[in-house]
Amino acid sequence: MESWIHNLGRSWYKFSRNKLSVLGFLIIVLTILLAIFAPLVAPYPTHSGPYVDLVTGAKAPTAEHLFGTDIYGRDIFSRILFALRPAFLTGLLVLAIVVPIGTVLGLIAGYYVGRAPDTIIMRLTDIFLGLPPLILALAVSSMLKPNLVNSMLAVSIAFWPWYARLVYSMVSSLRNEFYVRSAELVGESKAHILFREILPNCISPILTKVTLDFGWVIILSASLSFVGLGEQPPAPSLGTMVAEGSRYLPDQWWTAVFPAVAIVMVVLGFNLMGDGIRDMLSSEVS
Amino acid sequence: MKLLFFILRRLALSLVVIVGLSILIFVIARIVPGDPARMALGANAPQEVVDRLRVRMNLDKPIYTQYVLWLGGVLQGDFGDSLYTKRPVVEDIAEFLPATVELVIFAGIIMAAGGILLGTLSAKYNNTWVDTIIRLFSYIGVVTPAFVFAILFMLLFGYLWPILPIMGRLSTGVVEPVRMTGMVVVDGVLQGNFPAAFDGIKHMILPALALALGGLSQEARITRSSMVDNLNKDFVLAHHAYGIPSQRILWRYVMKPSLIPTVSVLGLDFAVLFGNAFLVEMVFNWPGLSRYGINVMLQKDLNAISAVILVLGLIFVLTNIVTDLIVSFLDPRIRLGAAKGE
Repeated sequence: MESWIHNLGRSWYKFSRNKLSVLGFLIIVLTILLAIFAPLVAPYPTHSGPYVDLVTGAKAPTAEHLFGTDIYGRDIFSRILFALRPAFLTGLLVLAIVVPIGTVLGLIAGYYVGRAPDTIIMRLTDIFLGLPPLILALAVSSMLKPNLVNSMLAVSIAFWPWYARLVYSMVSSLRNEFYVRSAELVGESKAHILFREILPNCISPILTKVTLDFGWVIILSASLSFVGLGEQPPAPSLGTMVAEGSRYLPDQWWTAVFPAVAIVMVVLGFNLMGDGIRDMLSSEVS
Repeated sequence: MKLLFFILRRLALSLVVIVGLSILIFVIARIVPGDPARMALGANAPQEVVDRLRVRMNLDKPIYTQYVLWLGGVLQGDFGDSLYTKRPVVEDIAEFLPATVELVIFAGIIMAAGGILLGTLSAKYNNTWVDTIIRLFSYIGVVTPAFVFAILFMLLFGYLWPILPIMGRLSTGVVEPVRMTGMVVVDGVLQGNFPAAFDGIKHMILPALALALGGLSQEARITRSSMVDNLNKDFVLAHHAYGIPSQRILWRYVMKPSLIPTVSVLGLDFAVLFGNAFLVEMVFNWPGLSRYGINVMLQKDLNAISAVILVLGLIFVLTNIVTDLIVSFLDPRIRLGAAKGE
């Protein structure tokens, strides 16, 4: 237990050597806290849903409405806080779906490299990679009812092949290492070899990719709702808010710009943190 | 000969991807809950009319027969009719694709040239203020979605400091070139209609920049890191010892090996431009395939959606092949490795 804490301390020390990574970490912690406590923090919690007050509509940023109001009189700042919730939820659920699926498929294909499971799984992966992720996600979500769950499904379909490919490329070279050979000789089960011998050696790149992808998943789902194929109004969603706001350019620039900045901040946070984790893990290996 | 084998193998694998993609698209287009014929005709159409359309759309046959019939049509260039524009999908694609291709090529040039230039400058002035600014710029470029750039540019250069047009492909009053390739700039130049070509380029600048900046930033980062690696190699030291000017070493001897990772990513990013065009065309009201794609998606127009996706998939696969060939040209290890059959 103590060595575990000790290791954590060492990792944090390495991670915190890069000030930008710490900045990313702080951005993420702050935005997650804001998302969780949105009902308490938001100055106008009722504005997250359908709410109309035309008197305060389309007001530029003031002390009362930090980021201004939209045409319905809803406080943009409050809505951004509430929109962070589906954004983080999407990131969390999509990765919870695609990482296990991609990893297991990549493990199997990589272990049986050159044989039937490899061919079947990796050709299937190639097919899903035959379209840019955004187009694949758009295609799938266009066929389903536009809502949050279906947009998560669409994003997941676009993301799993990247994990399969990443894990495959590592496993196919690891599978001939001595420790894998010896485990085979001793007669360990396939599950033991795949998950206890090989998988632990693939964790670092997967972990780095997960952190970076959190940002990309949020961008992709924001893009879906931007074109109208994601979460539907009046539910708050960053992509939808940017799209709605862009209709009132340039007079009500704040309705589009602040949600857009929010997206960029969150993705920037995950990227800075992901780079930090990568540096930390690669220095641990060396 | 072995190189030919390498290329043939690459093409065969791509064929598998394309066939697989056609199945995938077909399956996606058939998982729609509800009856496509009913959706096409609306809730008020009499049942027998819907049934007739079902037969005409082959919806009464088993799914694999439907696929074969669909694929047969597609191979002959028949994607069926669009329910949205009420005409053959092929005509729609022929009308809208050139605008997107023109925009994406323009953006691709900005992306490649800008990314390589910035990356090289960043490596040359490694750890100076030039490097810091470029790295900061490219970090922000990577994490900002294309549609955010689109809106910011529109606001900055369309309204706040209106120096560039933000809507459509040509200004009103400019004589439109006769449609030959469908690309305004190309047609304008071919017909000597230079005002139109010039105006077309002006209309492309903002959407193309919004499209290109993400990839450009990524290219700059990759070029910088591979160039910094290469600048520390022994052959550079040897060149310096021979007294070869630094500029020449940088632009001639370090450039080529440093571009290998850049080109690999460039190929992928070029194809991603087609994806992001979906968002950017919407903002700038660009009459391209992607804006058409969004419209048919919102209308659940199955024939048109499948066609758009399949066309984009084909472009993506072709881009990947070309990228692989360019990389194998740049990288003798891959070229010779392939020749050795590795």
